[in-house]
Amino acid sequence: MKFNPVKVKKFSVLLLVIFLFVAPLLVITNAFHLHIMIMMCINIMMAASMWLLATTGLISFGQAGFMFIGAMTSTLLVKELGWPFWVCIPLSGIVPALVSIPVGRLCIRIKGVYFFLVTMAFGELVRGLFAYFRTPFGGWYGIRHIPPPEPHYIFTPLSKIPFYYLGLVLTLLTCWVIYRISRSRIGMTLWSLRESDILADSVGVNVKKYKLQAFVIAGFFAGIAGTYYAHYFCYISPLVFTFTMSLNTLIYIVVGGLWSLSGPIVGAAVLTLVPEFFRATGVYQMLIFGIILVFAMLFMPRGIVGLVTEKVFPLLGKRVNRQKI
Amino acid sequence: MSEEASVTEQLFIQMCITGIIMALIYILIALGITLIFGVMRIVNFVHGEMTMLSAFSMYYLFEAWHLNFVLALVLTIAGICLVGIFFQRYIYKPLGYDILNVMIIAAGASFALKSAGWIIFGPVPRDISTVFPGMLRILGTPLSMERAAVALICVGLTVGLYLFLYQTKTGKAMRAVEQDPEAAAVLGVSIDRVHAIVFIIGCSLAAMAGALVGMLFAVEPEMGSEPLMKSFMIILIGGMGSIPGAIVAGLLLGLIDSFTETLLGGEMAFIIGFALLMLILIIRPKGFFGYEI
Amino acid sequence: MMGLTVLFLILSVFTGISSAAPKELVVGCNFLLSGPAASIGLAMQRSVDIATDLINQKGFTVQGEKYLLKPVYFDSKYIPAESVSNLEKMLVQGIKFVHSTGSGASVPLVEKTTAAKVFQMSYASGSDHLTSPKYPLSFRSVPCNETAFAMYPWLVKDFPQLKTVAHINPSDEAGFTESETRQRCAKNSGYKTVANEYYKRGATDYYPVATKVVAAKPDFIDFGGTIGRDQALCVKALRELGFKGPVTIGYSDPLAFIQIAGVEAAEGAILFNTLMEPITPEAKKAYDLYLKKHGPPFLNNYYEAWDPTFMLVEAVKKANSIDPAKVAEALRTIRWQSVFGEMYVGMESLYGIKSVFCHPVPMGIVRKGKAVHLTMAPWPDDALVQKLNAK
Repeated sequence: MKFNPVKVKKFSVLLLVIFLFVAPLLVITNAFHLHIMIMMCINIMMAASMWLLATTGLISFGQAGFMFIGAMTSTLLVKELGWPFWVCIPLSGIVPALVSIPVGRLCIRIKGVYFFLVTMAFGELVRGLFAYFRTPFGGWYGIRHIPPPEPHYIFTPLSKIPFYYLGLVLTLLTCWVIYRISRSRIGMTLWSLRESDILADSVGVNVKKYKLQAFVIAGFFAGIAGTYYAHYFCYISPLVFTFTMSLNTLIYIVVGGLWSLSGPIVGAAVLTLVPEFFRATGVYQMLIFGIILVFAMLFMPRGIVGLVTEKVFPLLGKRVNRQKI
Repeated sequence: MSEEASVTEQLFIQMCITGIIMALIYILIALGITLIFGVMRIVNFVHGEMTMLSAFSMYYLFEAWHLNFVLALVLTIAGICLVGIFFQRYIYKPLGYDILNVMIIAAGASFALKSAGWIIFGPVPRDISTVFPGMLRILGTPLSMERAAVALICVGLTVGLYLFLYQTKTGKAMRAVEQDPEAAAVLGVSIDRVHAIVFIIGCSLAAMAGALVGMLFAVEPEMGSEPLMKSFMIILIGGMGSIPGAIVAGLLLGLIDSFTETLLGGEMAFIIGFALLMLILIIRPKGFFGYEI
Repeated sequence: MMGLTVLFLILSVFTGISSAAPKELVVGCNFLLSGPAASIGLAMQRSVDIATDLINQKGFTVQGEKYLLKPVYFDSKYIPAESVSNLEKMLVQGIKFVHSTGSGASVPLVEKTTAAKVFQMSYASGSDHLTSPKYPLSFRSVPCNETAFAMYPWLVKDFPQLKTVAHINPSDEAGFTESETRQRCAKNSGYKTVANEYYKRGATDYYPVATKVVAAKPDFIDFGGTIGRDQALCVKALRELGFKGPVTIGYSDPLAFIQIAGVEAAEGAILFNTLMEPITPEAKKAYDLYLKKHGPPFLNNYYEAWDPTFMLVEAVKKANSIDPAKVAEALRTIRWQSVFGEMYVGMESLYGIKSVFCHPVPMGIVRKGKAVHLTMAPWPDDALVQKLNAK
């Protein structure tokens, strides 16, 4: 039987989405499990948003900074000005996106390894600024008692299911938007930039403009992930949005596979789940995580998705698209 | 009146000295990383952990088992070099030195090593007793002998490295590979051997830094992280792969850090440090003397 | 295909977690087992372990049934999200009692524990962010900035020659609250604060902050919320820069402090709320048990989790219930003979609710590389607390 790869793919994704919507009612009822799924949503949003930028060869270590800006935006608007959460959600994507425009303009011409550092510096700068000004940004204390979204009788500090659905919707939206962009003209252009900047430039592609677009998109969705974090944990501080968080996002992308959107999604999902097995081991958790990372990179240099594409699919008779590798 | 003036003067001199000494230590670590990057184009994230392992090794050999200091140092350096070669051959090489993959695998290794450190050594902080007791006075400001000694050692090693790279045959081979590996190979340079030597030198520098930091400060599993970050900043401002760049950037950063931290407090220093970093890279995207990536 | 893979992964992961065995009182311990304060976390873990062994030799009775104590350990790594994740896991396992360390790890929990009606006792600064009438089930198991109320009157009496003070604290939640409290105590005790500096927790070099403080020429320096190797390195830097006066340090492990700072630099350091030698019979018993199980060196922070574990069990026995609200009420009426002397839950005058474990505060000093016990400073009464806390 011949698989029509596109149809199979679309069908399995649909199945997954339906499952995810139904899961809390049937399978995943445990509050802690729901908490893990919520963390997964946050991580997937971060990884997906950074992915587009990463495909152009620009690895940004400052995503946690944009996440912080987004979180701070909605926190201050909801807490200080009393605006409704649902109005603030798009704003908490727009504000970091606006910030990312001048930052991106200045930084994009910095190449390679230096780009890592300048974005890392930006992330730390955001932390430092929010830490220095105790009012209104909370300083190192951070900001506590962040109200959950309205209506408050649905979203309480202990409720999990409403947050799960909110996260699911946001994550699906993020992934869908990024997927459409990657398939559009912008996406194709960005793909060509990874292959070769210079070549693309020579055929008249405005390299800087497209890279900036990717940078802004990454900032936008990082902000949304940030606000989701803020209103779920009800507490944000500079201790949360560290360089380590940006590094972890990069790890999700690379371990999942850089070559398609399913990479960061799978990477974030798997690497959020796996450490949970070892939470009870206490100090050993980090050790095991590190060792898993090392082995993952040694045996799956193209990421999980890459491995599955290269090894598993041929067994299923699916023709492997050589271009992707 | 003169009492006040001399206090300000003292403060100024103290800040300069502190800045320079911290700079020298970070430069020592940075040199190892920049050398490895220059020749092999990979970022060795585990450098910080090598510093940490070296400090612990010195603690056990010298402090706990009372070996002679120099002997302990030699054994430590040898041990760290072995670790480094292991990483180079079995962990980085299989990845074909792809910069992104190496970064991730090194990050994973550094998480694992740090955790192993917590588990094996325990969280109780320790210290390596000073081999250079006593105090000096420089321009009226007190300076501990051990800080002065550390400064001299760092300068010595830096000069030594420079001489090695520019005066010896092996050093020249390394610089050749740095500039153009294919051309160097054509000229008969053994690339593998050069890679191994680079790693040995880089790790030796990390090991020395670990012993010195352990002596000046405390020995604990977390100790590698902050120096590593500072070293990265120095290397990137100075330019990856450039030794004079690392030195200039190191001194600049050390002094700025020292002055801003003392006068304005840790938070402001933090902000100013990173703001300056961004500024410098925006103006000079390759750092002061950096290479094309 | 990718979808099916992820589906499979998720399904295969979410198998059930076993819950706690019956007739056990489970205490979720959210300790700092890695990160800057890990030495304290480890000492506390060992303390809870040994205390549990002791308690479980006989067990305790609630409503006619025999119970054993069962601590479960989680590492919060000083990351707030990890701490909350640990709490989520505990809540799902039906744990109703939480023992936590570190203000960065404990404060994010208190909203949820209060909403979930779960008992929380924390070894953390953070003043009324943890202990307030808003959180009737949250206690501070070790006095933190409150020790200032015992320390300053003692200093006035025993070290009358000191007139000016400088404060050094880490630049975070714990440090700010300590600094506020201590500056107020200092002012109301007649001291002039000549400098109030903060440093970034975990910094490598302490010369910047030490230089500034030395330039202000204080008579003594109060280290407030500084912990671990930060204390030792900062004192070392101060001595090298020529500061000769006394320093007051808390939360400390004398052995580690002396080893890292060096015998010369540590000379004359006053360690408050640190039991340098096992003075009381209770302390001796705890001390011997530790050495028997783990051998030297003795981790001094061990004392800090010892009595709270016993106090909790006593409260459960008195309330004859494992309902957190009843246990909390009973806890507020207990008087317990601790390693420091008599321990009870107080500080209503400060926070509006009895929420801090109070006890006589041991004062010690380092002489010639050895930890020497000086005296037990009494815990201040309400009137004294009001006076010292006046703005």
